[in-house]
Amino acid sequence: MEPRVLFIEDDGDIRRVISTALEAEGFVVEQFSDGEAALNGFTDLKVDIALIDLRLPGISGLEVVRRLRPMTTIPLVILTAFGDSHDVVAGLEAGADDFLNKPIATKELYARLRAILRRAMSTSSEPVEVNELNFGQISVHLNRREAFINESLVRLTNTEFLILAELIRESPNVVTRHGLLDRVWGYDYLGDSRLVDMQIYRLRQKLEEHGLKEKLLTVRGVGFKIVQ
Amino acid sequence: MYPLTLRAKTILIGIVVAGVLSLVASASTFFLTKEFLLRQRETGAVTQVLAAARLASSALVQSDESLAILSASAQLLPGSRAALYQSGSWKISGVGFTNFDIPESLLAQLENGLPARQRAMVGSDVSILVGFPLPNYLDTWFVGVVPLNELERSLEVLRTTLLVGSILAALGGGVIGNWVSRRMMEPLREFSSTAREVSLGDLTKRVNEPREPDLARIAQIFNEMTISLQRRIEREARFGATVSHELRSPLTVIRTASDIIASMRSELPPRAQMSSDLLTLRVEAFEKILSDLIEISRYQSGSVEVNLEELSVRRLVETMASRKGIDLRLVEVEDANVVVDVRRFQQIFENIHKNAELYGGGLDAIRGVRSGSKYELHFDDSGIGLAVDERDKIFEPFLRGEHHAAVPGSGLGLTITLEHTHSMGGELVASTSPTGGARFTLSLRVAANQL
Repeated sequence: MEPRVLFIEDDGDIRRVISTALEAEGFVVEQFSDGEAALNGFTDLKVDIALIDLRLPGISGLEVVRRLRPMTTIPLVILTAFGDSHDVVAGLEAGADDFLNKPIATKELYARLRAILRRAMSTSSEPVEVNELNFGQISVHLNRREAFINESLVRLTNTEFLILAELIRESPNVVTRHGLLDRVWGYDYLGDSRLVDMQIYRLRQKLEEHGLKEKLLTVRGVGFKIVQ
Repeated sequence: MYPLTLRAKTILIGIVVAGVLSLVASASTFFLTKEFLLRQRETGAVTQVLAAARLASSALVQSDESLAILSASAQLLPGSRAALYQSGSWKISGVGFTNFDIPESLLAQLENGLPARQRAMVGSDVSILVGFPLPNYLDTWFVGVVPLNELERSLEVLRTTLLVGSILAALGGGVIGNWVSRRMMEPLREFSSTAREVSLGDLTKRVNEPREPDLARIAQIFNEMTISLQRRIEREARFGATVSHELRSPLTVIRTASDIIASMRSELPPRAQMSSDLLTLRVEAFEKILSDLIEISRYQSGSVEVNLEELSVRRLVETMASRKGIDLRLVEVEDANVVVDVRRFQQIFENIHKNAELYGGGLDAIRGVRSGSKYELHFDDSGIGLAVDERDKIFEPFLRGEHHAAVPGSGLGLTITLEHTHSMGGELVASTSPTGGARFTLSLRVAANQL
């Protein structure tokens, strides 16, 4: 099935030309010029990924990310000004999973979206017999993309789910930031480690909300590990 | 030799001034006291010897010289000595004393019939000698010798006390100098630490205004300067952001449209193909120039943010080499974790690589060696190398060799590369490679946990 992309961008020319490029590559694009309309229609759109420009009139892109995050587990990707550190950090804090710089080469755009979607949409890469991972009070259903703590469902985004599964698989070993960037985001060794830190922060908060305090540990200068 | 600090100077001045003043005061006190005590002692000695001389005179009426001098010397203080001269011979009372100890000048005065007194050494003692011709006797003199040892000892104690006092006063001067300098330096220290933080990029820092009006004025000026600097940087950053946004939006459209056209290249007639190729090439170059300009304006306005990490230099170099299609056999890099901002490291690598491709016939070796807390990455190209006077110039903005004017580029690549290097706490130096090409040496800091 063709991947469905929600694309929110106020500049009509950019919206049209990028949508055209994406459609030519087989994506189905739902275009919106403002955040309000996109948020209102979001539930019916059934998209697999959202591409959101940060500088939107009315509700800002950041606000759109912030409001979309509790509504969905799909990857939210922000479009930022080239190398603008403030935008990247603010977007990740608001709940984005990844970011892309403008202007972007179309080949790079396709490759990034595909890499993110492949991980978000794929069912487990594990053999069927290890479809469920149990780790102390946590159990993870790889096929269904569901995680439970003491049998109660934890609402995780796709990225958070993939990180948790990766940490459990590797436990008791430490997983480096770049190991996570490679296996969760599909970046090579030059990925941006800020992506990982923000997701770990969110995942840790969710574990703590379910009573698992001090289980997701940061190993200074190395990476992260999960303990029972 | 290092120049003295203001504080050291103040302390030194305190010591010298207090030391000199107290030495002058001590010396005056000592000499005045000494003079006064000597006079007093001399007056006492004269009175005593006069009384003894009278006694000797009356004793001579009834007995001989030996008895006379005995009774007369009993009149003197213990430790004193006496001599009686009559009829060409001396009678002496007291040990360690002969008539030869009496100075000639004193004797001459007595011979003239006049009383005399004089300070002189008698044996090892400083003494005062007082002589009187005895009335009623021809050529008869009585000389009393009163030692001043005790007075000398008292003066010695006084001298030592005053000297110690002077040294203590000098040290006290130093302590006061230290206190004064600390009070003076306190606001200046705050100024300097605030100025340092401002220079490191924290423009929200202000200094507290001290109570001293002179320093308060400097603090005000400093704060006004920081505020105006902050406003200027904010204005420039806003301007840069606006300009870059305004340029980026059309560029995004042009870039994507050109990519779409390029993806349909095979369906285009030859002239459109050529146009599409040119468009793609120039749009990419324009994009690079724009990003270089944005980057350099960020450095110039001080609004850069660095995201430092400790990563394996071998993996960084090998990943970049693979991306750039560099044969990994040319890469010989000892591994270590180094402090880098990944995005900046990529740009440094890309710029050096591109520079080598454009001007140096491509990279022919990438070597990395650790040297203590530094890690040196050498990028060698196979070109003709750099003239000595070009090695620093090439990092200056918009400076490109005349024979390279036709090569596309912003002329900012190496300037940005150098800025990126500094922002990670590193260094970048151009020199000559072992094969005579250009060598760029990127020095990075080794991760703290590997030192």
